Amino acid sequence: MEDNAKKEAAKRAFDTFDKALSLTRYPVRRKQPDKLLFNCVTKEDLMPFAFYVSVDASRCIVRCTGYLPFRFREDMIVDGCKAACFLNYNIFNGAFCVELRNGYISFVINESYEECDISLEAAIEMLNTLVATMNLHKDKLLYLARGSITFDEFLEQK
Amino acid sequence: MASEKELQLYEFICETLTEAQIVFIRDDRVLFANCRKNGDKFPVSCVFAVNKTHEYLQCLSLFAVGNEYSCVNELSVIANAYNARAPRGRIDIDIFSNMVHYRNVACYKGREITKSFVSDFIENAVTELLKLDRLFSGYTKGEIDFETVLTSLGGEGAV
Repeated sequence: MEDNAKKEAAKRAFDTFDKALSLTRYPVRRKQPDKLLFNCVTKEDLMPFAFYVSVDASRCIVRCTGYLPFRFREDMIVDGCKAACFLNYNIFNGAFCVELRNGYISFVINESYEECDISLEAAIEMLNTLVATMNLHKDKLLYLARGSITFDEFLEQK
Repeated sequence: MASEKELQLYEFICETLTEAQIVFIRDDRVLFANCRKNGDKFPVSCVFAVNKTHEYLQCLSLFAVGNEYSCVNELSVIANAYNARAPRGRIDIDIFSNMVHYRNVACYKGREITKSFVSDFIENAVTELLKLDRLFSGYTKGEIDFETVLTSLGGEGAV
């Protein structure tokens, strides 16, 4: 794809997510059209979390990344990695990841728009999947990260 | 029952695989294209499919199994490093059996999917799979160490 075509496609993807965010009513804390980036937060909850929607114009990818507001201690990062793998195995789209440098837990969903724009429906699905998946698993990840449950107990949690 | 759009997507998958000379078996009932290992030309087996339930195109492959050279702790760290940075697709580890899978999906909900999109999806998945297969086959044979695999996949170094 030519550079201009890539820029236009990236702009269309950004606009689609702008619309999707307003329809899903996730609060946008900062919208940066020049960086093709949205900085968002989940709705009111006991444990809200931040997530970002960024458009990578050079690779024609939209990346939605949510960050849980806690992390694994250095000596628990391997358990965190195994826990992420355990969860990912049963998740259809997206992946939990534990950052090896600092133990923070993210959930990432990517979608390509090369040769084919992302529809509003698909954008809404990405946002809702990210938030729903993180909400579903955040409590048990927190218990594990805090050491309230062992890794074996984490595996037994529904 | 598959929609016209899903049948068309499946045909795009089969056409692309045929053009790329990848040997595969069609399963028209479930819209699966089962790609087979073909010596050095295509050293992994994988499935490209139209997932009607979720409305996604998907690529699935079991491309490595951990052994005495590759414990589940190391495999999990590698998968995390890869998944955090890969622009598309992910590595899945079955922590109970040490099996290493690759998975990539693309949502077709509400989209007018073109053949070039499908071709790009397949080309990207195959490139990643071949890269991962090379790394993991060396790693599970004990020829490539953990640090090297981690660095190659964009990790930060061993934990």
